[in-house]
Amino acid sequence: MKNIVKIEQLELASAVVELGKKVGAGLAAIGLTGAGAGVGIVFAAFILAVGMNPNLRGELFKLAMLGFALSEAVGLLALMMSFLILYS
Amino acid sequence: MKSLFEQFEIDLYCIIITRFFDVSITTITVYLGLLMVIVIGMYKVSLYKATLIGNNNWQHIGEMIYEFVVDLILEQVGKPGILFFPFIMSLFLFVLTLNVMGLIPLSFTVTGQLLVTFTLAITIMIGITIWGFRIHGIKFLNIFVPSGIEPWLLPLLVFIEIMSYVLRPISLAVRLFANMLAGHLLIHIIGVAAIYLMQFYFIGILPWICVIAFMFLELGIAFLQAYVFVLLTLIYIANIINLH
Repeated sequence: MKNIVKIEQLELASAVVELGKKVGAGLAAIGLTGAGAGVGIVFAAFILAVGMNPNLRGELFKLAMLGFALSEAVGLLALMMSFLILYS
Repeated sequence: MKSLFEQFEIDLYCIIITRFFDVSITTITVYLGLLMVIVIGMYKVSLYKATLIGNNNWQHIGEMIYEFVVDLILEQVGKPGILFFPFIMSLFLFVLTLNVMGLIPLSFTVTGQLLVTFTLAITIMIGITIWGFRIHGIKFLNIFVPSGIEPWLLPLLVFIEIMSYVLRPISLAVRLFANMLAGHLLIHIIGVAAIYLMQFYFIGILPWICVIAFMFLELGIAFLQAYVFVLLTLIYIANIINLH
């Protein structure tokens, strides 16, 4: 008689799995704070550099765009992890 | 409401299975054919107009992309990199056109599939590795050995260099894929919110202005990601030519 699983227990188990998925996805998205700070630092440094030497604006803009794309991609990895947990 | 990932589903239009290969026609095939028609047609028109009239906008667009890619190569790699010009030009046009085609409403984003981007990235990395062995011979392995390091630190650094070399195609592929996927999901969510907010008449067209602003942001991201993909490919090529 011990091995019988009641239907309520199954519902509880699936509810716990759903809860874990949602909480895990939310926690995985915390990593985006780092990407936000990184993008902010890139543009802050760009503005500072242009203020000091306005002649180099064109070259610095390319570098800033490269840094923006790279740091944003790192943040999107965290977002990918979040989607992976949520929808797989 | 349909699923969030409905726009990334691949439809099968025609099943063609030969003995060794599966060459079925899917959405990706159709979009790649459309890409060829667009790019070749654009350059044909540009060439035709240039010989006919000269100094018009079609010619300017063609020359602008050409000079952009040439300047990028000369800036990053230098003179020997001009060997890669046809490859880099077609890579840039490929990624750029697919990104921009994905932004048309109700269309499909080919670069939003990890399959496509990873195949592209790993083909590039294998190709330039073979090319590096051809020009340097066995000295190519010097790329894994940083110079000016104390001997007892060498095994660790060689291990790190090899890991970073092996992980390059993954980072190259996931960067493009994740940017496209996240952007389109963002537009989908904002669009659903805008449609929901249409029932409150006092909000007006404010949500739609927001949607349009995000579409412009995505247009910028599409150009930027094509640029970054090509730029990182060129940086890897320069790395192989100079061997640190």
